[in-house]
Amino acid sequence: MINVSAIQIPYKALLARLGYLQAKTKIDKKTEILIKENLDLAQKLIKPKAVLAFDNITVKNGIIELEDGFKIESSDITKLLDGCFKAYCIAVTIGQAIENKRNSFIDDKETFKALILDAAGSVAAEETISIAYRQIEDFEKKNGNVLTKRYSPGYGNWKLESQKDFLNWLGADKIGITLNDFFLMRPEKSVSALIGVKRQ
Amino acid sequence: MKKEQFLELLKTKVLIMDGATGTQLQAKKYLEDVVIPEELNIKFPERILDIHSSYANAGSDIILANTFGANSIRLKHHGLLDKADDIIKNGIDLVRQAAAGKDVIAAGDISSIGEYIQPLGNLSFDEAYKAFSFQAKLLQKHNADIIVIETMTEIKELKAAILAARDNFEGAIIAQMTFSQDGTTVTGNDLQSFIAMAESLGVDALGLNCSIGSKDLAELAKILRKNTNLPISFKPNAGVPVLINRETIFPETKEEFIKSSLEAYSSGINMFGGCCGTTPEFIKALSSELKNKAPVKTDSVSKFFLSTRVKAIDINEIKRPIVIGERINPTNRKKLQEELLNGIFASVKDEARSQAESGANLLDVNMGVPQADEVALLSQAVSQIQEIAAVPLCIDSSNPKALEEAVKNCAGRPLINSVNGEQAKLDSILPIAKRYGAALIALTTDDDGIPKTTEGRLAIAKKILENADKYGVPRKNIIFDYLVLSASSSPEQVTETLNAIKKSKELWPECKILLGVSNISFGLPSRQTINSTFLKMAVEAGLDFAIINPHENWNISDSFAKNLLENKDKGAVKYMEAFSSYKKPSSAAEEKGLPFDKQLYFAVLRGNKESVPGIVNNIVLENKDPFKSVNDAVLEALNIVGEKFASKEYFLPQIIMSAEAAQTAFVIIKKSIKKEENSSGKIIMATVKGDMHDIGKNIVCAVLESYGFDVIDMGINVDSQDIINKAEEIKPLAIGLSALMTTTMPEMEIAVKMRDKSGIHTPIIIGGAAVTKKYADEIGADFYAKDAMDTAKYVKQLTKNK
Repeated sequence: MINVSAIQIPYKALLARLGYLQAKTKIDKKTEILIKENLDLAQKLIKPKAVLAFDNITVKNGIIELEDGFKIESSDITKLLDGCFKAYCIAVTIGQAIENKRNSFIDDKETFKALILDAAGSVAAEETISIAYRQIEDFEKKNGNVLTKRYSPGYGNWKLESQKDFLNWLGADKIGITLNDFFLMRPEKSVSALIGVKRQ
Repeated sequence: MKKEQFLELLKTKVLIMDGATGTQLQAKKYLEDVVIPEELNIKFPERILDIHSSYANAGSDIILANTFGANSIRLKHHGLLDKADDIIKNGIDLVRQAAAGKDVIAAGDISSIGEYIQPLGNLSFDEAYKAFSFQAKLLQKHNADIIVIETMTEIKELKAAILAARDNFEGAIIAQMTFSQDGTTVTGNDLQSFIAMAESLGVDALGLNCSIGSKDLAELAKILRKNTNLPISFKPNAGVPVLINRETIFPETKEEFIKSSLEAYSSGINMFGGCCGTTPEFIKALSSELKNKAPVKTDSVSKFFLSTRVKAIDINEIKRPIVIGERINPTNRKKLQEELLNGIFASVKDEARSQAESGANLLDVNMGVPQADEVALLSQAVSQIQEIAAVPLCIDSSNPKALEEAVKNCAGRPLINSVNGEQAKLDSILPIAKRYGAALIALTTDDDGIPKTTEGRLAIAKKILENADKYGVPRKNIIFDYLVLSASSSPEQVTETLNAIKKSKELWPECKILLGVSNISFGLPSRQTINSTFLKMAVEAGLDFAIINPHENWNISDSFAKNLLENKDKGAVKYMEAFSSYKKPSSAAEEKGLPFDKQLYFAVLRGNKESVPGIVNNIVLENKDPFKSVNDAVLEALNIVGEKFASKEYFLPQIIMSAEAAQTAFVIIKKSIKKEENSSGKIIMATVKGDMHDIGKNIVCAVLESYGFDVIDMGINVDSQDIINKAEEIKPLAIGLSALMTTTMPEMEIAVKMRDKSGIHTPIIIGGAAVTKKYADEIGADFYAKDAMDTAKYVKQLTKNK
């Protein structure tokens, strides 16, 4: 159902992330070449991976309970998943190599290159989760179901600290995702999300 | 097992390899209580024996020992370096034990270090080579029959592994890479660049493993077969794994796997096995279909690849002349020499890009800068060019050390420029061509200079070939240059050169021919008319490669020039009549030299940091108050940059390019006038405690530095008390705090409170994705900066108020 191994980092999305406005920004040839060269480098450094789990859920009293007993406590998320009978938990990462390279550019005071790699990494992670989402969406559509938007720990009153249990339950360590002491994911360019499923 | 025996075996029958080891270990929960799978060899050998035995019983002819990651870097990382000998010895022994009397080939397994080599990562080529050599030596010591290098995704790492195996191991070497559906590895190497690299380094077989499932991989195997005559191995995974509900699921069935393997067999593949997700059942089925079958014979192919990291060109397929761009050469180019002495490669990269755009098939790279360390410079140039241009390189030097280092660091198969008939040259350069499998330009000159006759040049060519034979360089890798002399001074020599080309093609059709063309027109007007006309004549004579300026017009064929070149225009009288009044059109109206401070202004405005050192050095030489000149020009430019950013004409990358140019100017001027007091003031920057985000803060640092401020960057995840302590100590103009997340923003409030308590009055600026002006006001921060330029604007204001 899920295959994210061949993600291409979209150039336009990268420009947008860097603040490019089509109607106003005048990008000179040199800047364009340098951005594209570093985008090429970024493309070589990413290794997108995804891990997925799903289960039937019951939603009540501010708690989303999965059939195997795992619980998500957040009144905000409960509202958003109102009417859902199933939920997907997903985590994606593009790997550590791009961050390592970005950091070595920072150390070398190559801010421009660091900036492009960082932005390209963010766009790549976003692209990965978006493609995974669409793949789930296509799969569920066949069963006459629709998806909610995706929500991550830290959203609304879903505590960031829940990230730990969430990733554990999901088995995100299998694709190399771990948490630091501040509940931030490593590799940095990783995204986790909860997606609800309801009948159309 | 001797290499020849193995290769002989491959001629008679297909061989069955084993299936997955890693996923089998996972499935059987055999990875418990070990740090890495290789530790099993010494801690729980029975577990490895179990897996190997299951494959031996399933019919595997080749079993890969459990030495996948037993290179010195990885073993050291996991604290197992001192156990390396036992790990590898047991690894091989366990295959032999599992064979239990059956004919099983014990393959030493070598795979990726897990860290990229420069420029993708930080590992040097030599470090990687050393780590693989360590492993290959032990595989030799403990009698592995063959080595399989597998699951490689990066061409330089593959190169290091093959060289290490070849230098330290006597048996056959199979090199396998892992590809995506589009036929490239994750780092962008395509199938042909893989073949070019592996073949030129002398592997005995090559192949594909893991990747994308057997069906798609069988398609790639077919492409591989059409591009090489070497035996091929095929070891696909059971599809791309999906991690669902804490299970790793491989989507492919045994039946699908067998179907694709049979398809690969019919396209001429020689070795079959499986990778991740395959099991002994897969191998048993494979074995019952294919074991002992004769390989399917296919037509032999004739390829001559030169390659880069991402692609290869087949010289046999390219229309003549194959163009080698000559422009990356600092001879008689003072500005370029200065840049290179300062370690700046901007112009070199520009030349690489523009020549590739003008149609160069290869790029000559010469770094002969007087007083430079050519060994380092040539190697760096190769890396820099390969970062941006996907055109194979012709590495040009008279220094064998510089050549060897550059050829070693080249991600791909290059051309070496050059050797000649001098024995000392042959003895130093041919071994490099042999070791790296590079093609080699051979000039038909020797200690006595360029022979005047065709025969003289052919005699040197013959000597070069005899030496190539002696050093084991295949003759087809030799590309002769029969040398061009000026048609004005030696008109009779033109015919000798063209004759030598024709004769050479008759004598040694396997050897290709090259000329550096432009010398022909030396001393004559309208040089390009002669050059182009001559090139056409040389191509007709059989020329393959031309080293030329690809930006010039190569479509000229002129009858006056032809007469001259055919020595029918004695003294070039008619040619001179026709062309003496010719003036070369200037390529671009030369801009009148602007004053240096204006040049600096434009350099900062346009973000040309490479041109800044030269300009600032000139300002220092010429101006009475160089600091003021630099400061004024930079700030004036930054003001415009700021305006352009505000109007959204510039976006962040352009700001950073300008900031880097400005920073460069300040670093140089401060150093050259040795004045410390010229700083515009100190600013502390930090990402708050709990927040690990670096990049936004670094952008602000870069912009502030570009305005001449001294930025004290305290880093990420910085304790507020440390920040305030630092502020008390150094009394900065301001403190800049960055936080990217709502969860770490409260730390900003803590910092503000600590500052108030400490009694200092340093303004605190806050910024970051989730931070707002409202929040700044609420917590009592002095300023909310929406971006880096905003920060600079505020801080500049502070200096005025001071």
